[in-house]
Formats: sequence, structure tokens, C-alpha cells
Amino acid sequence: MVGGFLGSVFTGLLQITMDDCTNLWKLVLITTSCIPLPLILVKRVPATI
Amino acid sequence: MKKQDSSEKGKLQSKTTISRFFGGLLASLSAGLSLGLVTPRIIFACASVPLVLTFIVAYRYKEPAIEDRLYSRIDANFEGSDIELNDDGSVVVQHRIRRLSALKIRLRQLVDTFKSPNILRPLSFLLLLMSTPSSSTSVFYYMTNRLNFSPFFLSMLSVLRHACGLLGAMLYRWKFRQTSMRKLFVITTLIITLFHGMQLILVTGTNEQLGISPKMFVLSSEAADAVIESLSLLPLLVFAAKLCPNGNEGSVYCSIIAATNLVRRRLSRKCTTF
Repeated sequence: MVGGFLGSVFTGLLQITMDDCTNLWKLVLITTSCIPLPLILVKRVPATI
Repeated sequence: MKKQDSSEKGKLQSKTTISRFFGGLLASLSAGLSLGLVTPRIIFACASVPLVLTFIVAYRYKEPAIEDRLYSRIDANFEGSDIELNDDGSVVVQHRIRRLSALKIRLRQLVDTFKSPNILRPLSFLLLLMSTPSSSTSVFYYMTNRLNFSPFFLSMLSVLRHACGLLGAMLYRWKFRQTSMRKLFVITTLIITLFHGMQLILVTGTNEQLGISPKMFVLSSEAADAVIESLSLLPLLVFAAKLCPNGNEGSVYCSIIAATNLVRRRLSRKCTTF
């Protein structure tokens, strides 16, 4: 829930900084580049459970 | 769930996810088909009926009290121990504790649990995974305001998403339950990044230059994205169920679904309108 809340806050802040749909590609670019970020911590996940 | 052997791993989660997607598929299908017959107000009213029924059933359900192994009488007027002598001569000792003291003890136990590296390390991954921002709400507004997709098309898009999510859950159940979780996370994340990046083609209008209609582009990318998202969600649910304390698996499942569906999508939509 904490992660979901932080995600919504980051999304909201990003969207507020974008003026209108003309900057939508920037928002898509930023959010897309954020998707692989959790992979830096993927080694913390056990391979098998 | 925790005591299941490896052959049973993920069966429960995949079954519940398949049921969830199947229910969502039926709901989207009926909503989409009824759009042309009745007004949206009536559809909203119909959608609220199952929620009211759920509320009534939950309110009237008599939940049995969970036996507390540590303290037999929480919410006592004083703290201490009761020593009772049974008819057969055996002595029974019952600890009494105030509700506030019980809460403090539980919180301390919870903090101690989270301090454990076995929990903290994977949990940091989950936190980062859930914290990533999403552009789905803005793209939704782009589809309705700029591309002028009709409500019927959007409902059919929802039908397609649920059908492909169902397919992804079935694929996980049949083929990927025994696959390494780490490998699944890495591969699905990379594919989701690729499909998410394809939205750039849509929002910049490059698809028109390539001769692909926006509707076909959205339909194909949404279908593939839904399958992969479902494949990435299920190991997450299995993983979270393994991490959570005994007896709280249902709560964790609900929390993850609530966090992904309710908080991220609804709140970010509010932020956009703000």
C-alpha cells in the first residue's frame, strides 16, 4: 500500500509538471524508463521459494 | 499456502486470479453490450447492486473469534493472571491484558518481523516495484479526448484486457509455475518496458505514418501487455504470500490488488484532473 501510494504521488507530480497532451510523450518516456528500475534490487528476491 | 510443496506452488493464486479475470471479463462484456441499450446511470446503479449485497453479507457474517495463543483475555479491566481450578482438579492459568498493551506488543512484533533481513530485502524490491509512476491515466485521457475513442470501444478494450489477463494467468498455471521467480520478474519487466515504450508511437502519431490505425495499434498492444502483466503479477502474489505472516495471505492479496487497482489508477486519475 505504501508503494502504491508513493507511485500515485510520483505519477501525480509528473503529470502536474506536464502542461497538456503535447508533452504526453515526455511523460510516457519518463514512466517507461522507470519501469526497469526495480530490477536493480531483483537480486534481493530469492530465485526459488 | 506456506506448507504447500513446490508442485502446488502458485496454484491457489492462479486460481483466484483466473476467477477475478473471468468475473471482470463478464462484467466488461455485459457493461459494453448494455451501453447501447440503457443509460450509463442505470449501468452504474446495476454495478452497485453486487457491492451492496457484499456489504450486507459481510455485515451479517458471524466471524468466529481467533484464539489468541499468547493472551486468553484481551480487553480486560486489569492486567495479570487468573488461576482457575476445574472440576477435575486441573489448574488453568489465563493471562489478562488490556487492548492497548496487546496493540503495543503486536506492533513491536510487526516491527521486529520487518527488521529481519529475510523480509526486509525482498520487501524493498516490492516497494520499489509498486512505487514506479504510471502514465496509464494520461494515455486514457489521450485516447478519449484526442483519439475520440467511443465508450463502446473502450469497454471492448476492457473486455480484451480481461480476456488476455485470463490467458496470462492460465499460461502461468500450466507452464511457468516452476520457473524461477527472479527470471520471470526480469523477463516480464523487460517485455512490459518494451510494450509501454510502444505508447510513444501512439502519442506522437507515428502509427499513422506507418499506416496503422490507432484502434488496431491500441488493441494489439493492450492484448500483449495484459498477458505479460498477468504473468508478472502472479509470481508477485506467490512471493508476497510467502513473505506475510501465517493467516494473513488473504489480506496481502487484497492489499496488492487494492494498491495496483485502487490507489495507483484512481488517485493518479484524480491528480490528473487536479
